[in-house]
Formats: sequence, C-alpha cells, structure tokens
Amino acid sequence: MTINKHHNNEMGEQHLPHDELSDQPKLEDESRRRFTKSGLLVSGVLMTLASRPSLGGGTVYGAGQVCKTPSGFLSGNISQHGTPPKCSGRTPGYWGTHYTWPSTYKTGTCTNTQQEQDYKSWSTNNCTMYKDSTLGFHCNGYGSGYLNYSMMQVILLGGVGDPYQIGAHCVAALLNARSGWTPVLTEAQVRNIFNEYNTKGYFQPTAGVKWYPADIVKYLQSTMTL
Amino acid sequence: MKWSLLSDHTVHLHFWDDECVAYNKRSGDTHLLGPMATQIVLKLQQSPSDALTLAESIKLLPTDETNDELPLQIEHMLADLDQLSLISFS
Amino acid sequence: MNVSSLTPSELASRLRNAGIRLQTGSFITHLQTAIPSVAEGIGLLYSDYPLAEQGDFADFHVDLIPPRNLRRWFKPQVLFLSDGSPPFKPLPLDQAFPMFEWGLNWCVSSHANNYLIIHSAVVEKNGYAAILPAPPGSGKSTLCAALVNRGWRLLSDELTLVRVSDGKIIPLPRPVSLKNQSIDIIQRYEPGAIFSRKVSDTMKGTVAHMKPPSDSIFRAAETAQIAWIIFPKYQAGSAARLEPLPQSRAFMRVADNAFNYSLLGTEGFETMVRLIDASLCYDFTYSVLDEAIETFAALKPPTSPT
Repeated sequence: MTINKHHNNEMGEQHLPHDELSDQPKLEDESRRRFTKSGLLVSGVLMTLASRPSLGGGTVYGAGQVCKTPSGFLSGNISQHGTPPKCSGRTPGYWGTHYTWPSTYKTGTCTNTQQEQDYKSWSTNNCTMYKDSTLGFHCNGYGSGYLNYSMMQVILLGGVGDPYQIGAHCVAALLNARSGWTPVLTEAQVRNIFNEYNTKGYFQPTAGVKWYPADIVKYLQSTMTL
Repeated sequence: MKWSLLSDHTVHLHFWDDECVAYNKRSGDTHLLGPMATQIVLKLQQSPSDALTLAESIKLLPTDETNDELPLQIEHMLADLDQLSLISFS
Repeated sequence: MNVSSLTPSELASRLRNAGIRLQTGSFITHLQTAIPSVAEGIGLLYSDYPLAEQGDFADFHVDLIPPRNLRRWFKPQVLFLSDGSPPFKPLPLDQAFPMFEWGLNWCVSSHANNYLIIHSAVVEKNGYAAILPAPPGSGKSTLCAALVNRGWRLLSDELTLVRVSDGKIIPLPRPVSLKNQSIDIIQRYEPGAIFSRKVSDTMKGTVAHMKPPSDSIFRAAETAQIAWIIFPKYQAGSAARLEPLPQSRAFMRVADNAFNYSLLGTEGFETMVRLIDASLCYDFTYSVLDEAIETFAALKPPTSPT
C-alpha cells in the first residue's frame, strides 16, 4: 500500500509497519489534544492509504514472479489477484528507434535524420516535454536536469545528463503503460515514482525502503521483457 | 456558501477517541484524520458550516494559548479535506 | 483419512499420478508432483492433515514440475503451477517444498476474497484471537512459533483470514515458516518440534518449516473471535513491553498490511472497522521469548461486547 504523509504532519519522514530498520513510531506519545498552534500541525489529515488494489503488502513469498509491482518486486512477493499479469514492456532503446508513440505522446521532429540517435537532432516543437503538466514529470528538484528536454530527447540523452538512464527508463515505462503492456504499472504509478524521486532523491515503494536511481531503473527494467 | 460533508454514499467515517478514519468510495482512498480535522467533519456531519463558525464552535482546552490564527488554520484544513473530496463547498 | 494413513511410497505414487486432495483449514488443494522432496515434506509436516476424496471439489489445483527448459539437467529447477499457469519464475529444485508453501499462500491471498486477508500471524486461546501483523524481520514468525508451543492454538503464521460476513477469524493452520537464526532458536526452545530439512540460499536466506501442534490441525474448523492486535518488534536486550496503540492508528497500520483491503472496497473498510472496534491494540517490544510468552499469557480480552 502507498501511505502518503501530509505536509501538515509533524511526524515527517515517519515509519510505518514495513520499516525494519528503525524503531516503531511512538505515535501514542504525541500530544493530540491541544489545539494550540503547534498542536494543529498534528491535527489535520495525517495520512492517506491510497487505493492500489494491485500493490501488495509484505514479503510472504520467496519465489520470483512473472511480473511485479513496485512493492512486489522488493523480495519476490506476489501481489496481484487472479490471473498473474505478464509484462511485455519495451526498453528505452525500442522507443528511441520507433517513432509511432501511443496517443497522445509525441516524439517531436527529427531535424537531422543522419544522426537520429543524437538527442540534439530532435526538436522541442510539437513534442511531449518531459515536464509536461499532464503527461510528464515534475522537474523542480532532483529532476531539474530534464526540465528543458522533450521525452524523446531524454530517451536519447544518456551519459551524465541521465544518470543510470533513469529519465529514459521512466519515459519508456510511461509509453509501455499507455500501450497496455504493463498491467501492474500504470502511467500514474510511473509518474509517481519519478516525482517522488524528484522531490526526495529516492522512491519509497514501501515505508522504510528507499530506491535510488539505480534501484528504480532495475525495477523498471524488470517490466521491459521484450 | 458553506462547507458540507459528502453524503454517506460517498464518504464513510468511523471515530475512535479524538481521531477518525474516512473512506472515500469514489477514490477508494482511506484517510486518517487528526483531532482538528475530526472535529471539523463531526460539525459538518451535523450541519453545513463555514470556517469562522467552525473556529468559534470547536472546543479548545482552557489551558491552551489564545490562537488568533485558528480560523485561517481551519481554512487550510478545509482546503485539504476538499482536495481529498471528503467535503464540498456550495 | 489423513496423510499419515498412506505409506511414503503410496503417498509419492499418488502425488505422481492422480494427485492428493489436501485439506488445510477451509481450503482443499489438489496437488500433483513427482518431486521427491515435496512428497517428503508433505509426508512429514502434513501427516495429521485430512485428505479429501478424489472426486471432491478443490479450491486450488497445484502442480510442481521441472520447467520445460534445458535446466532439467543442469542446475535443475522447479516450477509452481496454479490451474496450469505459473505465477512465479522457476526456483532451484532444492527449494521445491518451500515453493509449495509460498505458492499455496499466494493461492489463498489471491483468490479468497470472501475474507479480508491480513499479512500477519494469528493465534488463539480460550476462543480469543491475537493478530500479529508485522513486516519481515520483526520476529513475528519466531514469536508465533514459540506461542503455539506454549498453549496457543495456531490459526496461521502468515495469513489472517477475517470473514467478511461476520468478522470471525477463520483458521488456516499450516507449517510455520522460519528462517535463518529463528530455526535454531525454536529448535532449542521446543526440542520436540518437527522440522523440515533446512533449505539454503532462498530469497529469504535459509528456511525451514515447523509442523504445527496437532491440536491446531484437529481444531482447524473452529473459528475465533478477535480480541487483540499486537505489532511485535524484536529488539535485542529490551524487556517485554506492551504499549497501547490508538485504534485509529492501528486501523491504518493493519490496512497497510492487508492484501485485499482496497480490492474489497467498502466491504474492506467496514470489515476493518469491525475488526479494530473489537480489539485492544498494542505495540509490543521484546527480546526474551519466555518474557513474551508471559506477557501474552496475561492478556485480557476486551470487556465490552461490540
């Protein structure tokens, strides 16, 4: 489950049942009955358990799985219900060479067909920008390096511009989700992963566990089986 | 124009001590509300209201400092609850 | 008729051919396999479990087979099939019995949606159940194994089933899964306990399964009433300590540990409300098993009916 802490919650980076590494929160110690200025900070909406039927809890299972959700990937647990979904996502390499993208994602125009694999050959006209407000990602923190690039450019960026190719993998994952090739990972969930990384520098598939860019990429790659 | 709680068809609440859990049928999300937010939904469950009236009616402990910012803080909290589609303004 | 009424070779033969219909709590699993270690594990840990008749309805159809690939001979593997399909990638053949256990947990947690299913251990005494939700590493399984060897009935070590229609806890007593040091700890704690062979290098480390006390198996049809929700945390050197947990906070933490809370929608919310309403909720820290046992022995059920 995804548990989101609210900004007005003094508990901050708090721990939830899955945190093995630190002490259980002493929730009962918090003063909850005082409606003073400071007391109000712990009086609002404290947390939300987002509805995610396909994200499971715990590590009941030690077996590998055909296709996993972020929390399911953690240690091989199974989290789906009914028929196991099979992921058939494509890699960034695929999306960087196949220019028919699922609606409404746009590659933009290639201005130098001699060097199609160079990100500089792709214009930012008539394209979907990485930071697109509807389709894209937040780029005001750790993701600020992607601010001025289109999604196609990010696919091709590589190198220091895209460490671990996290940007490229997020674009590919987004396009895979839109294409219906990754039943366990929706577009919204892909955005959530990058956006959390943008804010914090890591993504938490479950409280107490942090995925840094290399871990995020490793997970996304597991959904790109074709 | 006042704030009101969405109907039973949409929002299910359950109260324990001074907090409550709220289930939104439309989003499928479940929220844990602290004491102030709980008092707000309790009042709105009784009848629609506005921030100022809520600020006056929500109980403060005698030992608390005077809090002039309470109406504003309640406004913020109402905005949060609205964002979660637990209440509406009409 | 129980599994023990078959000789080892009869059991192995049935498993290779028509299969067996193994009853665990309220589930019947039709199991077929030619893998010897699975037959041995079944014979050892499921000896007291009933076998249903050949023609009886089965909730799950499970096969454990070598996958159809080159690994049949080189570093052989095992594949778990549920209704003919593999939900997981193959594992080394050596892990076949643990894979059966994990796979059966998956079958239940994926399909049994007339229950709210919580990832937790659950034990019972005098008709009252204590649910122990906890992530791996909290010492939940070690504590559960100790409790069931000291007078508590095992309802489950992994999956608490809360019946949506009435909130009762439905037993699913199966071998208790232990790993790494916990295996030795419980073997020392209860020398008479029956264990499967240790299997190393699994995703969880070294694992072994402990046969539940016979009483837990014989009483598998007896439901229980929830009384306590206790979040255990092993902490080296600490004295046993129970700290009351506000019910609102317990609600969110238990829901976070439920497999199908979201899937059940409003029913999931209502079932969880009823569960929490009926419970005394605690955080529990401990380091010495005997102290933990004493703490649990002193638990009193809630006084007011819900």
